[in-house]
Parts: sequence; C-alpha cells; structure tokens
Amino acid sequence: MSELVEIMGLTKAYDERHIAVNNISLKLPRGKIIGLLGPNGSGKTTLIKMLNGLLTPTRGSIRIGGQEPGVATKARVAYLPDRTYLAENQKINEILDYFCDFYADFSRERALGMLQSLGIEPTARMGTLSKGTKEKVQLILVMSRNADLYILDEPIAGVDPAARDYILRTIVNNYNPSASVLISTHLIGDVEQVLDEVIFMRYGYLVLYNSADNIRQQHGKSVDAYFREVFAC
Amino acid sequence: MLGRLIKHEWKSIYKVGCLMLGAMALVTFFGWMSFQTPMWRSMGSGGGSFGWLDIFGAFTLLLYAVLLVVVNSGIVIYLGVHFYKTMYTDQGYLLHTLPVTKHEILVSKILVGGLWVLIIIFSMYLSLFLLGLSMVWAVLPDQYTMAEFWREFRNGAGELFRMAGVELGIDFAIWFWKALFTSLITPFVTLTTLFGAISIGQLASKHRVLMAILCYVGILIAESMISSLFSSIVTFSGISGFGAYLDRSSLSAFCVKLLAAIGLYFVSWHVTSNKLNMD
Repeated sequence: MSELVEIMGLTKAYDERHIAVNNISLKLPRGKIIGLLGPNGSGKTTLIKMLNGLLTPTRGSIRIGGQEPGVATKARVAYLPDRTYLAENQKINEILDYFCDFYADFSRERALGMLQSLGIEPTARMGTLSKGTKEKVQLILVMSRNADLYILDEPIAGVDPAARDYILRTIVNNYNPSASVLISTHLIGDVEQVLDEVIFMRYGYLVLYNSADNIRQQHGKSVDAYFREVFAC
Repeated sequence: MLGRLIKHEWKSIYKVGCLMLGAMALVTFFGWMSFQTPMWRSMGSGGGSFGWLDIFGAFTLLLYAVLLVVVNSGIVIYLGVHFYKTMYTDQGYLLHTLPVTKHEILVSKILVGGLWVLIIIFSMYLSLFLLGLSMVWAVLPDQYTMAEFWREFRNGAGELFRMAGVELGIDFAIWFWKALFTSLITPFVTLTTLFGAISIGQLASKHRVLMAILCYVGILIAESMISSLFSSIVTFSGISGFGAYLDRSSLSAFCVKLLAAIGLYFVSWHVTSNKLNMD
C-alpha cells in the first residue's frame, strides 16, 4: 500500500451549528513533509486529534497504514500536541524512561543527544523549564521515535526565531525517509522551506491539496503569499 | 503493557500516598498524646481528676478523629483528581496516544489506586489499634502489666466472640471472613464507581467537573436507595434474628455497590473508547 493515511468523508460536528471538520477526503503518501495550513478555527487541530484517536469522528473513516486509529496505529504515529502534556513534577529522565517503556521505536540515545545539543539537563523537572524549553523537550521526545507518521500540531508557535530554525532542522534531519510528517501551523513563512506538499483548510473544509512546487509554479508566488491571497480577510 | 502502566501509575502516586501515611503516623501520635493527660492516668489508680491539660487531651482526641476522616477521604479525593487530570486534561493527550488498550489504562488505575486506598485503610486500623493500646496502657491499674492484660484478653476474646455469635445468631468465623473479603474489595469498588462518575461527566459539553460530582452524588444516592429496598425485603422475609438481618442487608448493600461498579467500569471504557472528546 503506497498511501500512508486514507481519510474518507471525515466529519466532526460538536452540534448542528459547530461543524469543525466537514466531509474531508484525503490520501497522504509516504516520505513527504506535508503542511496542514489554515487560519485559526479552520479545523486543523480537530483533524489531527481524530487522526490520533483523541476525538471520535461523527462520520467518515480514517486509515493509517491500513488500520483504524487504535493500539496498532498509536505504536507507529508520533504526535506532538499544541499543549504541554507532561506533568510538571516529572524529571526529563523519568519521561525518557516512560517513552522507552511504551514506544518500541523510541531512541533514548537520540533524545539525550538532542537534549545535550540544546543544553537541557536531563535531570531538570518540567516545572522548572520555560514554556519554550518545554516545547523543545516535547519535540525531542516525538522526533526521537522512528515512527511512520509524525503529526506536529503548531510545533513552532511558542518559540523564538532561533529555536524555530533548530526545530525545523530537527524535523528534517530526524525523520525516517519512508515516513511522513504532517505539520499544522499558521506560521507558513517559517516552515515553507521544508514543505513538500500543502493542505489548505477553511471552516472545516478542504480548500486545496497540492505540492508546494506546483503552487509556486502555477501561481508564481510563494506558498505564504498564496495563503495570504486565499485567506485574505 | 499492563505491567508498565501499573509501574508508572505507582510511580506517579506513591509520593502522595507516602505523604498520607506520614499524616496517619502524625495523627496517631496526636491520638497517643490525648491519653497521656492526668485524667486518664488517674483513672488507672481509681481516682478522677480533670484539669486544663485534660481539656487539651479531649481536643487532641477530637482532632485525631477529624484527621482520621480527612486522611481516609483525602486519598480517595486525590485519586479522583489524579484520574481526571491524567485522563481528561492535557496529560490525557499522552495517556490516550500510548499504544495500550483502554482496558489496560482503566485496570492499571483501579488496581494501583485501590491498593493505595487499602494501604491507607490498613494504616487507619493500625492507628486505631495503637490508640486502643495506648488507652489500655493509660487506664490499666498499677498492679496489672500489659503481658497480663494480653493473656486475659486472649483467653476472653474467643469466648466473647462465641457468645456474641450465639446472641446474634451468626457464625462469627464466617462473618469475619465475609467482612475481610468485602473490606479488601470495597476500595476497588469505590474507585471504579468514582472513575465511572468522572467519565460520565465528560459526556457533558460544558462544566464537566461539576457534572462528574453531581453524577457521583447521584450514584451514591441511587445505591443507597436500592440497598435500603433490599434491606426492607430482607426484614420482611422471615429471618431468624438481628445478626442474620445485619449479615444479609450488608451483603445485599455490597452486592449493589459491586454490580454498580462493574456497570460503571464499562461506562468508563465506553466513554474513553467511543466518546472521547479531548478539549
């Protein structure tokens, strides 16, 4: 099977008036870095949560590697949420133990290497770290896995520009070439350089799914500029 | 994976659990202090004095009773909050994306939490035993030693239980084993019920914590009403004596709680498997 993710008629309605994701169908290939782009409230995070089994779809289906979201897909999907999910009283070392215990594809050595390069002490408690450093720790945990699919929800939103460069380098250098990376963000200018394909979402609908190169060729402008044109207020 | 979940659940709870045990030791110390006042000492020698120090002793005993309840219910409240935080707030993003089944998650939380409640209850019994011992020590007449007291207690206890059994119309040995069994199971039943109520609260679109609390209170009221109904049926079903009435009504109350907990376990499983909606 060449497609890594197959989404068919996916809908998430919180009630009759609040439809966060509306009848989306998509097929995501292997070996690509895909940008999931759209303004706030466009349904990006809802789609990502459904891919990770954190939200139950109202209608439609999701297949990751041919399987519905569940134990098997969670073993192969590395997910970075848009919030801190680690307990404040935990030490980074303890969190590494936790990931080693549950994810067979987690590399402690890779994580320690990245922590060292960022000057983060493995003995530090999460509660003592700044917001940006916490986000870096979470990204390191996710990128230290040898997963089939990396889903990163706003990975650069809360960090300074220098750290953004490091994070993007980390994403590009650490993912398995046969895997795919799905990055949700509205900071398109910062991530455009690493994107192979682009998904635009608005009001829960899929607006566009194309390669970044095609967009640049067809419209004669960067993805960032095209995004601003499509989503102009 | 269940073993690993249990290991990490234990690691995340044991510090608070040990703190509770420390609190229990402190509470026991307060209880012991209350029996060191002159009033209790003078009782042993047949006298009876009452001074300011004895008022302090009475307050200390009151404090002991209050703290005992606080520690005992504190661990259950903590475990409820811990369950809510790790399952349904930001920390749930990690737990629910682990490659483990929902049954494994729930079982690990019920087993570890239940074990801690059991440890706290055991420490409470131990505390009460030590308090009783310190009271006996305080009021024991001067010519008696503790060794003599224990010898007399051992000789008299068997006869006392046999007579109580005859008087109540029950076999005391069977009653004891039943009570032990229900005491061992009850902490797990209590937590499963609490976790079920918290999970039902997640079905609300807003005010989920409030919904969980209301749901838990509602479940307790419903259990109590059904247990009372069973007790009434038992009362009018021609039982032999008061002991048999107590035995059957407590058994029926336990069965109601157990059945409710089994049902609520599957409610928790259903909510986390099919109705999970993380904010």
